[in-house]
Amino acid sequence: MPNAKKIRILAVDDHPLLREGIAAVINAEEDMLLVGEATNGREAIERFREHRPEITLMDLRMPEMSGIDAISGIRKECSNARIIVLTTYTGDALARRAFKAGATGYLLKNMLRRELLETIRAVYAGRRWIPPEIAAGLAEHCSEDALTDRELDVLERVAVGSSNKVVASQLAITEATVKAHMKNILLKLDASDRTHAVTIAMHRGFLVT
Amino acid sequence: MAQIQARLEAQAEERERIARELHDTLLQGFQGLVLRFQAVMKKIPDHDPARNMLEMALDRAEQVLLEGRHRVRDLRETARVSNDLPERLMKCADELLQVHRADFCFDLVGTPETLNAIVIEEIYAIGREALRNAFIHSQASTIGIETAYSTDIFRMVVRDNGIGIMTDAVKNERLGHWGLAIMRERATKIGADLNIRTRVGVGTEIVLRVTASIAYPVTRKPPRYLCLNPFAGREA
Repeated sequence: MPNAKKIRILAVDDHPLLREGIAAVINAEEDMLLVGEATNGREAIERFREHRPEITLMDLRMPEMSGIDAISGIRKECSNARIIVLTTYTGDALARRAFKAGATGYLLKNMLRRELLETIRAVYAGRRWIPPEIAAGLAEHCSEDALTDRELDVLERVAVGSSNKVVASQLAITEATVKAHMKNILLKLDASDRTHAVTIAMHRGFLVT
Repeated sequence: MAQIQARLEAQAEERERIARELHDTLLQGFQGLVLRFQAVMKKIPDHDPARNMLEMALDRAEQVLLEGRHRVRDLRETARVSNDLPERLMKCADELLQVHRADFCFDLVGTPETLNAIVIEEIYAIGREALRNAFIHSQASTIGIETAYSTDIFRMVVRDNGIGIMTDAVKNERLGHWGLAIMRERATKIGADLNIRTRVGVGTEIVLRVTASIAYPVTRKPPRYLCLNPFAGREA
């Protein structure tokens, strides 16, 4: 089969063994070719420029630059880039952020073995691809107001144990403003207190970077 | 006291480190290897029994992997603090109720606060042992447990109206049987006070007291993962 017909793929993940595994599965297929690998978001953008792959497989949690930022970066340069997220996190908030940044497909790492190839072919054919459990999470929370960037800033700091006073000084806002943000956060997440809010936020992937 | 706190902090950090390493190194590597075996499997012809065998092995490997991920996630989320003590004790009592029927009562005094995870492990182990004694050895008709969260102390009481623990010469030998020595050891580890009151034919009451500065989390340097705010629920 001539090279021109192969789906050209870039794999981005900071773990070498996982990249090797993905390479083994992809290169065993006649209609696919792994053209490049990257270990963080910054490298991903560089490799993308170099190879212009038809499909990019993108891990989210990586050193230096996260997958979400890399997705935004790539889509800024190439608005029709097709990017499939690879992650272990099932939270709906993280998925929403990835799709907002421009992802076309979503794949949980525990589904890689059975669904990697199918997902690549579907996204290459122009379809969006979302696993049912992620879709269900997105649907369940679709009518809720998302946390604003500022509320996320506050919650991230609360999650590492900072008091309202500390959060206020770090964000250069008043303590009353922090309290108002916290009130909104509790309301939006349907949480009973700060601890509960942080737990919910962890589960739903608000705090994964 | 400061020594115990420092040790708890070190243990919590160790738990976080282990969780992170398990996730980043072991589980991701395992996943990668499963994929490589998958590529090998697809090279085996359909009719060859080896293909089916390898596929079954890979299915199993994936189940183990998923289980591992869940364990690591739990470990991460509860590395430092947790508020699931009453829930865990209740579950333990539920199981024991299958073994010995008794009137059972769980009293919650105050709101269950988050406790340091390492402290929870010790408190739970002591509570479980005390409940086991009450249900399995005491022949009691009424058994109760109480967890009390107040600002200066955490208290757990397990009481029953059973036969009591022998206090005569048999005591030393039977201490092992009742697991009392281990309970004391655990209490000492977290600097807690364990008081056992027992009367033959009347019943037994075991009271554990843990000082607030050890039981409840304190804000320290921001950890890499998560440290829930000790003032949770009191602000905002």
